[in-house]
Amino acid sequence: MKKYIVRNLRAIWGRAYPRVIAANREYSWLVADVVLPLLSVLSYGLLYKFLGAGIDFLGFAILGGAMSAFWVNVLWSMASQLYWERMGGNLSLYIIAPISLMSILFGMSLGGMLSTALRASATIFIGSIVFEIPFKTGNPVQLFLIFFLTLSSLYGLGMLLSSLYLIWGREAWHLSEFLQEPVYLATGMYFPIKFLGPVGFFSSLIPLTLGLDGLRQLLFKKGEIFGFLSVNMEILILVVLTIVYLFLAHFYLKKMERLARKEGKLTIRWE
Amino acid sequence: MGVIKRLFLNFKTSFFLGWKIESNWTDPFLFTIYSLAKPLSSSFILIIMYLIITRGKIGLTFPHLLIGNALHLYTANVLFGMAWAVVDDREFYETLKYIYISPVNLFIYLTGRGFAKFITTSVSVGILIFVSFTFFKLSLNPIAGWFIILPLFFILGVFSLFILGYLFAGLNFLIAKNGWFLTQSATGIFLLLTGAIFPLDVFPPFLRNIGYFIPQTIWMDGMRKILLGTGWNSFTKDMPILSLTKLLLIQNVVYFIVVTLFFSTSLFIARRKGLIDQKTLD
Repeated sequence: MKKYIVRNLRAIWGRAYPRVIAANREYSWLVADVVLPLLSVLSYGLLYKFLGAGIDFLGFAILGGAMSAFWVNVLWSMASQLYWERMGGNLSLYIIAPISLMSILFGMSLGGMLSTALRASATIFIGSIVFEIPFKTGNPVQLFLIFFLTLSSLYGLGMLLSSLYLIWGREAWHLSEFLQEPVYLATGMYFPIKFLGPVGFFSSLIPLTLGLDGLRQLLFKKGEIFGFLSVNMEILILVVLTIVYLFLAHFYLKKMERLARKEGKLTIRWE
Repeated sequence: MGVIKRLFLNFKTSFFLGWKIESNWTDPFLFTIYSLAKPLSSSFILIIMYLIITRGKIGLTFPHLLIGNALHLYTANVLFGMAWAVVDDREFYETLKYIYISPVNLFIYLTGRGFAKFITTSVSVGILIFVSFTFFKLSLNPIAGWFIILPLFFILGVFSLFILGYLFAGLNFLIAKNGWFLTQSATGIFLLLTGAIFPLDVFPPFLRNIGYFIPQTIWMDGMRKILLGTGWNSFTKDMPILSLTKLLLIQNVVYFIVVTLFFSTSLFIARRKGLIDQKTLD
């Protein structure tokens, strides 16, 4: 048992390492991850400015743009990663290695969280300077909890989605494309989710919804006015979502792996 | 076989291939939902932002915003579709070298691939404009003789889209995996600098002037003028539609010559440097 745990810890480290070190070695990805969200942030920010919105709305858009980097990371570098690994021929190696697939995904998420956090910070930093956004200092414990739990549940959802990519071919690519803009809309990435009314309750299944809402309440002066639920309630729901998504990910990864073995999907390329 | 017939066959085949790559991964119903979800969602984000700030009041700027955003979908999709086809065929399907050695004109091949994107985007744009104008009870206020100038101006704009597509496809022949980033960034920059969702007047004069050199800026403002009766950038506001048409035509001719030369040169360099079958995305 002890050996198994050590092996899995090594697998976590082994998969997190390239996400942190190698990703930061490739400067073009670094620039891409900062510039692309920044372009959207600038566009939405300028639209708000043109419409005469208050400064906090510009801040909401900047925070949304920064957090969108995590969603993009979850979709393209977490959920669809197993599809890329299959294309690259690594997936079969992961399966035959004496480790859990969850450890591989956990390593990916740790590395992904860290490197994306750096990029998201750059988006917030540049966006705040361009639009001169004032931040308020909310409760630091709540701030930490809401940010940490948002990422935990979000990457748990990524692990759950990755199970689907074990058996899917080109649909995987399109599913990731499909889940980008509609999720930006449903989670209130660029506007407070309160304005979507009851739809917000369904959107809350995507952890970004409550995470963003909580962060906005804690970081901006008018955040509380546009808040959807109380921050404590949002923390509680995010705890539940984290547990549920991790449990479902564990269950479905096993199930989908069995199905993929049965249908011979683990080594198919260019499907 | 005549040259025109051969080029048409090239176009038809690449359009068919582009269409299949776009759509044959699922059934038509799911494909329709997929094709509509992305553009409709990004438009709804803008609509909600607008309604929040104006507290539900629909002002004169709203239809301008809707039309600009809908037309930007063409810029984003056709430009990305054509430029990405180079990376996709070269790195993912590894077929670019075979296309290159076959008797296919690459210029026409990319036109066909871009046209497949153009068709799918047209469906989204049509639905988007129809749904939003109907839902918000907006009316068009077209200028006199719109039925003649509208198709002409639209086609001129579509030409400019393809010219941009060739430019970025040409660039992608020369660069490695960063091609996707370049193309995506270009789409974002065009959203900013073409006045698609806000007038260019919000920018300092230097950036504003860059925007006016992009054909899509003139195209979007001209389309607004034809359909709504007014433009929304100060530079084009008082310009008659015929002047805008001439301006767009001149830009198209100039850019076409420059981009065609650039495209041929990139292809020549790519062949000399052995970049046509490079693989950098692994």
